[in-house]
Amino acid sequence: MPRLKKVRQLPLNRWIDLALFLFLLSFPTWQNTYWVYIMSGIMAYMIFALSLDLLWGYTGLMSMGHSVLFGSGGYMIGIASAWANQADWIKFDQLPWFLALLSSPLGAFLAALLLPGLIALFIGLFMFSGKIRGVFFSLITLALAGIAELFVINQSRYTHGDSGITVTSRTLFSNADSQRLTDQQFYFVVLAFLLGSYLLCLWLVNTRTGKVLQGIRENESRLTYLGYKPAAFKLFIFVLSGMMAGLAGMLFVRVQGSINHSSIGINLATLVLVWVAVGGRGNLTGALIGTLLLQFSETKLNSVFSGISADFAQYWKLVLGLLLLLIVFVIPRGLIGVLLDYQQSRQDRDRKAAIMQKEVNRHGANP
Amino acid sequence: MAPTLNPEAAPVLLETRGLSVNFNGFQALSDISLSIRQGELRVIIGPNGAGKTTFMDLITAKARPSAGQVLFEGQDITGKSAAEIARRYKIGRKFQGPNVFDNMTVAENIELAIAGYESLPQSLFFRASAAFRHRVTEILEQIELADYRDFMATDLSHGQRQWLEIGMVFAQDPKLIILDEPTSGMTADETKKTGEMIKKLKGEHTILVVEHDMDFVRQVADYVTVFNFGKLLVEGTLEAVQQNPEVQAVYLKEAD
Ligand SMILES: Nc1ncnc2c1ncn2[C@@H]1O[C@H](COP(=O)(O)OP(=O)(O)O)[C@@H](O)[C@H]1O
Ligand SMILES: [Mg+2]
Repeated sequence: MPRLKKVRQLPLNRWIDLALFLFLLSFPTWQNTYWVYIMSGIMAYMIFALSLDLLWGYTGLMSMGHSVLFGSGGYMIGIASAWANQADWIKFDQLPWFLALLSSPLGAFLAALLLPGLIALFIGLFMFSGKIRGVFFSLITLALAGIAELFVINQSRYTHGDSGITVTSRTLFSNADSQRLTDQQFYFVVLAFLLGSYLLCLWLVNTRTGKVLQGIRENESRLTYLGYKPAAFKLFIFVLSGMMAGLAGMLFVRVQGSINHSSIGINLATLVLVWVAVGGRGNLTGALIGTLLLQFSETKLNSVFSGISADFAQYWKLVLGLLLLLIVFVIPRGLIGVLLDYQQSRQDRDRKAAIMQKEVNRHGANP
Repeated sequence: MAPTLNPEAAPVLLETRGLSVNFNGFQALSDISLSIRQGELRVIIGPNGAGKTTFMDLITAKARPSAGQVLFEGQDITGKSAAEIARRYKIGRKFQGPNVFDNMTVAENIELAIAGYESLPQSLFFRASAAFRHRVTEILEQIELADYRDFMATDLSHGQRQWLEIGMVFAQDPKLIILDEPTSGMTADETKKTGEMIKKLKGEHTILVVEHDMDFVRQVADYVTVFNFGKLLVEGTLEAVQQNPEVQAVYLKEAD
């Protein structure tokens, strides 16, 4: 049965993906509304982690400021919602031309995808035509996250500065309270977007384009001598990843019902790096599992320890920092990476045995 | 060992005119003029640091010449980009020391190298046809890696990685194949097999090889160019070159 053989050779992590989605699908049936709400936020973060995995895990471009794209998507929704509901801090009576799209909820939805895409396009054009690579790409993106955070704090006329914005939650194309879905309903909206994003990523990384992206990660200059122009591919994946991060930001804001500068700054940019690093880069599963494990633990431990110590958040950061160091030094390929390496080494052993057997047979036939 | 094609009759494929390069005051190549005919297998030999790799860098746009021109099929390709030289003019190059995609499988390395799908839309909507898959298998057999197609390139032996990169150049289906020390680090057995791989292409393909291993040179070469200190010392059949006292002085004694 060739088809059965194909199923058996499926990378182990695809089974984990399947189990994960079945788990997520059933989750609301046996969990209370609070946990359904928490898990909705985690799923939005999973989309964010997937978007970083495309860029970092597959293409080797380690963005240390990916939150800029997440947050700019989120802020589009935030400003649109504040404007529609005429929040008391709004002091202007007309949206400026550059925010005109936000006058309708559908426009805000599009803006939350387009603005991050445009930001990625401009950063990408500047970086990839200037041949900025490796650690310089990381440092510049990190700086951009710092700048973006200061920017939204300073532009309080549109962002309500330090305090952030309250947003109509659990809607997609509306800023009216009457249109809000239940926590359970919106959970499935986020899950549908997560599944769609995952399938898009899975398709993409298995196309020839996906292989070119991995080629960029492995040996970018070699590709040019095969006739490829890596800059176009890098720009493409950066813009796609940016739009996906914007989608994640939009969904997160609609789950949480608010946004502030921490969603666009260095804090979140670092967190998503940790999720992907701990789960394992370049296989999609790691991004999903890393985000789930760490965000779930944080919420769970927070509820356990906050009664004992008010400084839980500080301790949690310490734990994350130590965990990252541990991962980097002990299992640099992350949790799922270890699993895949194990599968690969077993398969290699079987293949080597088969090659040896072939040699023996050949020499046996004509000694 | 007679050449399969009469080299005098075939048209010139690659010509360099007065090619020179200067790296911060160091003259790595001076005034190299040579031409290679269609279907020819040319070997460049010369001691370490003679400028052989640099010469290939100038042809494939890894480095820019300070003077001179590279002509390919009569067109001036000096100053074109590396991607254009690979894609449009179809010059394929194997680098010195294996230069492959380490954490990708052997088959993926070959698939990426197969020419004709280099643009973003082409690669996005690419679907492997039966003919495409057949071509991949054919190349893997040619380079003795058919049983290794699902191994990661990084898990191959040094010699196998050299073969893999040779296979990538074959996959490009180039008009000119450039191989920089394809047998370095190979066992004697592997070197011999490599010689056979290359000899099989003789006549159909135009090949430019840099090589150190004199047994290998004897195995494949008809016509040899000797570089020394960035200059073209002498050209001719292997026999003629070996008789040349200057060559004996600078190179052959040292290598053998
Ligand atoms: N990019 C470069 N910058 C400076 N010097 C170089 C560069 N590339 C090559 N060289 C020098 O040019 C000389 C020729 O090198 P190379 O072409 O690699 O020799 P070969 O391949 O014949 O051994 C060497 O002395 C080398 O150090
Ligand atoms: Mg060299």
